[in-house]
Amino acid sequence: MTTAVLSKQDVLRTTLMTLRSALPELRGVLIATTDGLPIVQTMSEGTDANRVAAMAATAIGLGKRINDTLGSGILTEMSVSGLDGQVYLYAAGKGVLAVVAPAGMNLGLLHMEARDAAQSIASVL
Amino acid sequence: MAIFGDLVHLPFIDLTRVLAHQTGILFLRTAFAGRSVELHLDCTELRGLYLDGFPINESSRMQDVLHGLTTSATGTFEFQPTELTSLTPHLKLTLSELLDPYGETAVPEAQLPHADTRFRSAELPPTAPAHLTASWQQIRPRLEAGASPADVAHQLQLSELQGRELFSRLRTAGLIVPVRGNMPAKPTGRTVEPDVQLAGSIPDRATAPEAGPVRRLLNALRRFTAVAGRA
Amino acid sequence: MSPLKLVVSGPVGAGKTTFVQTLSETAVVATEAEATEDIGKALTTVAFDFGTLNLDGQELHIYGTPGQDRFNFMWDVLCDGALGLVMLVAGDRPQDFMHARNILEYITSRFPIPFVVGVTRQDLDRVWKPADIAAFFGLPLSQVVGLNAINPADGANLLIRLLERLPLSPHNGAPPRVGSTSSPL
Repeated sequence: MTTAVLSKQDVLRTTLMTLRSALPELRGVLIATTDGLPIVQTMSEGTDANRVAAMAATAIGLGKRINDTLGSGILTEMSVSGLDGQVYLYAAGKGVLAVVAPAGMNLGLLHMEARDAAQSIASVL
Repeated sequence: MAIFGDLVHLPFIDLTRVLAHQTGILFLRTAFAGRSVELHLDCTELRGLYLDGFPINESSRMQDVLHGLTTSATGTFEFQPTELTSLTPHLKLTLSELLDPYGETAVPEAQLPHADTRFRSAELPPTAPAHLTASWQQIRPRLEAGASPADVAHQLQLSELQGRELFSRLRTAGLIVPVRGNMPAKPTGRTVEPDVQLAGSIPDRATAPEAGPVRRLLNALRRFTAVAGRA
Repeated sequence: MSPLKLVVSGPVGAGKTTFVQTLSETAVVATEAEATEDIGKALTTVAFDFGTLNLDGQELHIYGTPGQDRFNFMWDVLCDGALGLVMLVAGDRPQDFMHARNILEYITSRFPIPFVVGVTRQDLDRVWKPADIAAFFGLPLSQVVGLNAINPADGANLLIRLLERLPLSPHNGAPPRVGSTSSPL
């Protein structure tokens, strides 16, 4: 039982690390449950990962609600952008992937890598 | 009515405050070294103290038991209200005076005040107990206009958890109270401003609502409850 | 006439979602997710529950907050501009009283918001009564009300007690008119 839980964590950590090496400019990556608890994360110093996990769950929850109302189908992703940076949130099965990027990042590459990561996360959780 | 629970979630001192207007027996199942304790209370007075059913009369033994209850009591409790005449009192002592000199229990993290809750000095604070005197002297000036555990932890270079623990102790000792109502909130997110807006300025969000809509709501709600009746 | 906004908060399991559902005339819009912790139920609110009540033409919007501390940013978001706060605590869960008090103090020490405390589960025999909860919170008895969260009359009564506490600005001198213009809220 314990071994099974550990290897889920290991797989998720590997996914996170793969994403970070593919996109070195990222400020942080976090995988959370849909009810806002962090599972694995590499956020920068001074960022409260617990807070980010809860906010990611709230945002995705609201995003799903908006999608339902507009008839847009199952939620896949959403973003919050500011002048100095942005966060992209991906629905990942029973979890949420949050990717924090600096301003001016190559979004094509980011989305390609992150969507892949979200899929492997969904298959693990 | 029922007053029951577990001391790990509701510390003994807080429980005694709840019972300040009650007369009856407080039964603590395993509170003192796994043994049961009964306190016979008549409002703020301790009229009887029993350990495993045996009355405790002797002063130093009583102090041991009360100290144990204050600092390390665990287990479930139940309060049974009774008439004073049903108690067989063998003591007549003011409970709060018996408890004052002692330290308090460590409060679990989940029950500590929030790091951003703002507190101020109590209107007429009591004398600080010995173990809090130094901290109180340091913190008191910062609390004139209200401050949070996070603010004070930052200023005194404590961890946020230490700040919350300190505020929990100061509050249990009656030295501080949470800010209520009229003071404007600081902007969300920690800032290092030592100055706090004073109650003179009235923020937009404290603008009183128009009387008309609220009165209309009240009247409609009152009509509804008159018709629906109380369960 | 712009809608008035009320917030319902309290620990997990206090009955917030039930309370909003009981009072709301419209279907409650809830934003929930599967709970990964053992909280005694399958779903937990991650954003808010939204319900509406229309009384004599005055629209009331009721927002239920999440209960866990990690969602405290939602307490800030939802209480901003709110008319008043209902703090619910389950009378059969003394293990949550400290937590409920901490939530209440967090919110009310940051926002000058009128509030009442509602003690739910009053249908049970073994339950804490409002007077004792008031003693624990250090509040006057008038501010702590017992209720059964599924009873609409109880819910309405709690709203009455809250609205009675509001400091009201005098009407702008003109006599009240039917269909008066919206209030600045």
